[in-house]
Amino acid sequence: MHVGREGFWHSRSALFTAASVWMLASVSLLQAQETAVDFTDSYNLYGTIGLIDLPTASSADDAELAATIGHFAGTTRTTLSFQITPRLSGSFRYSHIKNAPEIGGIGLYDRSFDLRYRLMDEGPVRPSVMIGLQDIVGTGVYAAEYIVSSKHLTPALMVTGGIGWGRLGSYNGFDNPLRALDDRFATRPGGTTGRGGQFETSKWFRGDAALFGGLSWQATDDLNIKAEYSSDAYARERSPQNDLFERNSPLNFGLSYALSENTALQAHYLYGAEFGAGLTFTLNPRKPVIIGGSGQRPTPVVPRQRQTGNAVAWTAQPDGQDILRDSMIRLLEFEGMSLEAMALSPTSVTVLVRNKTYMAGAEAIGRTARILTRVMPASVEHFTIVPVVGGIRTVAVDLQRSDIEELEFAPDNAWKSFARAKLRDAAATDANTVLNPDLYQRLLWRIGPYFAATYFDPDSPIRGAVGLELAARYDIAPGVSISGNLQKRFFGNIGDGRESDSVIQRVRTDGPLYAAEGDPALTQLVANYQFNVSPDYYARFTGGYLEAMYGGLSAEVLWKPVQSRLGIGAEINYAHQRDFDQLFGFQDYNVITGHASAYYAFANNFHGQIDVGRYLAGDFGTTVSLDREFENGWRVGAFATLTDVSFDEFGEGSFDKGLRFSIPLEHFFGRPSRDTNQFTLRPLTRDGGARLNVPNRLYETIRENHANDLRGSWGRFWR
Amino acid sequence: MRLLDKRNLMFVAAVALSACGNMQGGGADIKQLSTVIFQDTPEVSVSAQELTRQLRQQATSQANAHFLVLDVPVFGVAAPFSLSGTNRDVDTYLTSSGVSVSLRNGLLVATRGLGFDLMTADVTETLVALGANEDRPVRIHRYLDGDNQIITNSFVCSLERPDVDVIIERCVSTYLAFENTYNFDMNGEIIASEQWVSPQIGMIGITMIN
Repeated sequence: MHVGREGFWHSRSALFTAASVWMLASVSLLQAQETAVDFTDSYNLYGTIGLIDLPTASSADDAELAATIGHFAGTTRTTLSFQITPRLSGSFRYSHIKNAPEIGGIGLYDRSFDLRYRLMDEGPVRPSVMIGLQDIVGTGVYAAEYIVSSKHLTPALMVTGGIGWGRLGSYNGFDNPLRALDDRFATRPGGTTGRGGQFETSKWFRGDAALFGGLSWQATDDLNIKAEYSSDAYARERSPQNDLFERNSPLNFGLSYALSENTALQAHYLYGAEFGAGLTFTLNPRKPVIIGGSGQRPTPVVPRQRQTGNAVAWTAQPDGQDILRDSMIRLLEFEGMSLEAMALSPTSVTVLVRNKTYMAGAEAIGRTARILTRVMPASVEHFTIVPVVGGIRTVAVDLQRSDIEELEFAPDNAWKSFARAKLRDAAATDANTVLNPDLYQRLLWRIGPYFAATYFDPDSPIRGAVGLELAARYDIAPGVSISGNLQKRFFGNIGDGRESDSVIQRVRTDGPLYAAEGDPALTQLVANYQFNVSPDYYARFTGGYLEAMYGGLSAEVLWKPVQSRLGIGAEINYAHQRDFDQLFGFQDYNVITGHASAYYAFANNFHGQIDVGRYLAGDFGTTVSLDREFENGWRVGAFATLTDVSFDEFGEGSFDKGLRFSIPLEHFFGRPSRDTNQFTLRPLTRDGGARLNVPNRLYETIRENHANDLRGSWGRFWR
Repeated sequence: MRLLDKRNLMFVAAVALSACGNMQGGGADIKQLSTVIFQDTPEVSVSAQELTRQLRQQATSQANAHFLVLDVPVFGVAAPFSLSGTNRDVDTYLTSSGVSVSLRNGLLVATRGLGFDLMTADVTETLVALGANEDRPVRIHRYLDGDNQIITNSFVCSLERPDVDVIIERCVSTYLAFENTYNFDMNGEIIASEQWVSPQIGMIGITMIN
């Protein structure tokens, strides 16, 4: 077979030659290695576990979150990947492809979403196999589907090979083997469905397919060297519109270097023409900085001495109750908790406790129990601990003092203490509880910095704001409070967004106007009343300036038995749109919104929620959310909303969807804290399916002390 | 915009005021962030041996006070711990800085406040073995993992007596191994020891004073 110099790289024999040379070099270099190195998977330019521009059939550690920025030849990809389960991973990507200099303009900003599933694990003989769908929603600039397989030839050398469709079938492609199943597989339709933002299932695995493959070699503990044969022809990037580079070769070479346990640097030489680089940051919710936290030791259990004389003589002492209560207040405050109220009888005590410090409700309960053994007279045998959140009694935990004394150092004290504890609804707890007056009729306030950002505006992919925030709360009585939040921006371009082109009521797309004019902004000022209605039922009333864009009234009722995985609630709101300056005025638009909601905590740490009702633009529909939750407070989830607003009316993106994260700050600092950073990533903000942001929704308030969440973190009872 | 213009100065002052107020929590906590960045580490001015010597001098005049000196090499810190109380056969010693250790007849069964703490340890077989010169006791340690679950490590141990008042306990599990050393007094009680806490903390030295 005669091949000219140029044609050599484009022939299949080149692949075998290159691979052989690479393998010979690797094997001889391997023999020079003295100690075995652990193969570490690394990320590629697409922000997924892989080679350079191609995927491998490896998965990241379960629950690993990775953010990658990769760049070459006018293409920048910023990807967030999450290992949703040990086999399933998802990625959300925001990319920019430059236009050719003659064309000018801002280029193409694209959002893409991937899913990958590991079908088969690697064994001594068999390889691992992964099926992947790249850019499955929307315009499909990066759309590709693949089946890839990887195998370790030696512990440090992995070979990967696969077959790809779409983008990965564009170079040296051949007729789609799947057309044997159905003729329609032979061709791939172009274009995008409607307004984009939809799953383009009709294109998957259609059109030409092509082979790809590569090698990766773990040279040292930190350095991984890769080579690959890419089946991506980069047709778009090499078209006259973009004209970004010359594809001289299908071979890519590169490396990944671990700068630290959580940071890696990639450097590559691609397609015989371009250099590229990338940086990856990883984080794993299951690996905090300090496992167990560095919180101070609990009060040790004080066992009772053998009693002589009258065990209940203390009840006759006139100020006995006050002294005991003061001791409880003092010792609870020392451990970051507050005594709300206490009721004492000769043989039992009920304490209502506010947990200000610990993420796990079980830890607050355990510490309270130990404090009780230290303070309570010997005749008090029955402890009932009631965690109170926002004035609501969330659960009543019955413990026997003898069990606490017996189990403090028992090797399996975690599950034993849970088995002996009784959890029940707290609505009917002791009516004789005496309130701690210091907790109420007090103004609490805090001044601190705030950071805000909006994303994915093509004019400016990230807009930010930094400023100062005053938060204040006045607790009038248990469950009755007035709270507010004032922000003053010092820096930021967050108000510079485009004007809305929405054809329906602009209930959310005026965000840039609120951001621009709201300086200073009264982001919230509400009066709130929430309470236990009766066993299993909770209620809330809220009124005032509920959020940045709306004020009004909100009422909610929730049914949630302590032992139940299921909660059902209903909420109804009157929302009145506020002035853009986010001060005290209102505009004309107002609407009645409301939802019926079902919450379900699945057994495998997934949590689902369905809300059905009326949204801010007057549209009716449903929101479905699914989160992966961790016992330490991390949550990663996704949601989508479909309403009777047509995809056309909704506009670009077709329907509301997004990702949401809850990150506990103590993950990074080690010191116990209930602070969490919560944010939502929406590819697009439009006006359909928009829900009112009401503060103090009941389910979040009570769920942490119900059986499912308590049991999940009960390991911390003795912490 | 000059770096020191009025708006920038106001913001810097505002950040300096940050986390002011009597309400806990909410948003970015600059104080916590600065602690991580600037790594508040305690000053180590006294070694474990020096601390032991000082405390022994004081202890002779206070018959009822019970102390131990805990040496934690991984933090480079040694500190005195005082006896807080006894529950059944376990003594708990603690410091005002928020750390506690619990000992059962001199064997470590729990730590709190170090981070990567030993939650519980089942040392029943080890205690029997120490007394009766038997071999191959099994130890079970329990720890919290990053997701608040209790994980269990079982160790098979062997005892060796290189000297009349010293016992070395060597323990092995699938992935971990450690070696504890116990020094006894004439009454058969442990007066000094080096014991392993967890993979991250490693060994700690315990010296009983009084």
